Amino acid sequence: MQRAQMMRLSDQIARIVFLICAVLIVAVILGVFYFVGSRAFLVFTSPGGSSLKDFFTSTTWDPAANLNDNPSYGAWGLIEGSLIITFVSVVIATPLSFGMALFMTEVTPPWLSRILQPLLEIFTGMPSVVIGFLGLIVLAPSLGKLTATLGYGYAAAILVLVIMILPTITSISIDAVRAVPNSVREASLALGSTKWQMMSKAVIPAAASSLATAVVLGMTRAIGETLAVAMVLGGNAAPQKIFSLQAFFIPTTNITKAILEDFGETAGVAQDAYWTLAFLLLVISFLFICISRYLASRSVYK
Amino acid sequence: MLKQWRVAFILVAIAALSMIISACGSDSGSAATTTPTTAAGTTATTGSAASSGGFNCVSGTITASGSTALQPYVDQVAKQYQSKCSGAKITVLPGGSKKGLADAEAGASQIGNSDVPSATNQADLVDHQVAIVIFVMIANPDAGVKDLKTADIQGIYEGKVTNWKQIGGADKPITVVSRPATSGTRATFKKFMLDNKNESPAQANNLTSDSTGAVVQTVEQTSGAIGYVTLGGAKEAGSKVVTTTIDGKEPSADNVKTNDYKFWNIEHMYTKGQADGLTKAFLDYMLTEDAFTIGDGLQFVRVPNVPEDIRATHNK
Repeated sequence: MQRAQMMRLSDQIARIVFLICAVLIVAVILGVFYFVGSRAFLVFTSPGGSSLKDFFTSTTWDPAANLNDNPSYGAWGLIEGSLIITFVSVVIATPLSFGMALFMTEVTPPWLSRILQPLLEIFTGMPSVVIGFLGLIVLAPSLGKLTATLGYGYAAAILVLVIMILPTITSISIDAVRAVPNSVREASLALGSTKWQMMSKAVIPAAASSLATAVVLGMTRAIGETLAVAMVLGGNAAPQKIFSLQAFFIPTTNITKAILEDFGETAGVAQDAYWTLAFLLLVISFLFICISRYLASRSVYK
Repeated sequence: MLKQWRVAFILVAIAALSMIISACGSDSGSAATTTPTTAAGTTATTGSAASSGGFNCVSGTITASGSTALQPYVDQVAKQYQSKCSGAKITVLPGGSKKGLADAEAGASQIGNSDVPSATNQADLVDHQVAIVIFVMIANPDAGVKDLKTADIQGIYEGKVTNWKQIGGADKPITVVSRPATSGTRATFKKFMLDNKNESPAQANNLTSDSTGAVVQTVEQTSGAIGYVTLGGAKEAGSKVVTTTIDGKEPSADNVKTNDYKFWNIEHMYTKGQADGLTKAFLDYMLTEDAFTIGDGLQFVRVPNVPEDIRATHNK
């Protein structure tokens, strides 16, 4: 009798703890959005601020008026930088990661994948400053020698990001592929498909929604990545001709680099402009998640 | 069997760990016993320093924020002041000159550290000049230059001079290293070396590094690179970079005194209105022999060594 009561009590406590956790998560997310959002629009309303159009079309970023007599708030160059390095790095990393995930789950013998997976997980948690440092000391100079440029710029940042998000996407993809029931594979093989057909026509579509999540997590890591990217971007303005090969080897900048380097040195309206950038980052990663949810919802297997 | 081994291993590990911890404990214990004696020793010496008019122990809590260039100096002086005056608590925060000025104006900190003079709309901030910082041009050794004319530097940073051979160096393209637009060092460089013109080198040859250490590192590892840093930062790099003379003048205290060497700046500590209490005591302490000795080690020039009229014209 007493035992039953105890169990009911512990059940109740557990439920309350879980409820608190859930409320906390929601509160923190809403709190962050509110806090950043409440400062994000000040730059458009306060005197000496920017117009919405200038912010998103002009490319001269100088909110503290260090370069000219009047501040200018053209953030497009920064946004461009963040979007380009994120998309290109994800486009490069995704097929590689899916390939690695399929290799680890469908091809490799279990003993090998038991060695490889922990290695991969170590890489997932690699501090970004370490990779950034390697990029600065090893990658940028060798890229520079190879291309007869300085080596800093989008290309170096993209390579650094690929290294950073590859393990993230791979390790989540592995779980996604593992979660596909064996009956799917058996059915596919029984219909006479080859191993590759089985993987591409049955396993990948079955795991599509989890794979999309993997890509999105990689993407959100890429767009928000600051230190490693800032170390190898090396510049302070976006390249003039964005659609040329040279543009990838010119010292340049992005949203996170601008915040990292200049936020602390500003005050007043100039600082509000950085809050706007921060809010923009939040919104972009939020959009990424929405897109992936939509893609996942179109998956054949649900 | 295996399990027993494991248990034994864990026990040994715990024993080793506890030994290390206890060793640390006794270590800090001995440190704690020695600290008061050293503190007492220094208090005894400051007794005499106080009579010369610098050190004055006032208890309280103050914050100084701002310039990252000045921060290490203020930090070390604050530590020394606190070790002599146990009732005082001085926090030194980085954040940049503009933030320092804004903090002092808003009352967020009692002292605003700044490399640049206060803005015209901050008239109620009172200036305390505490040090002179010398900046230098550094170049990668393979550039083959030892001296730069002011006109050369302007040519390089305006993108007109793009190869070292144009100004008597090796046949190497020039890589220009800048600081971010918000940097106080960049503002100083613009004011005293570029005649207030903006840096405008070709983007493909222009890197931006966001601290003195990063500039030194970049210049060191990039062939044909040039950059501007504090004398202290250049000294730390030793012979890995070449510290050039400007118009034939060495970056030294002697040349700053006469303003023959122009690339230097005054470090300010601003207070809102006249300083009082601990703030005043600490600012006075910044101008004592004790503080100057720390400054010498960080390659700052003592303020009284540079004549007031030179400082006034430079500060305009």
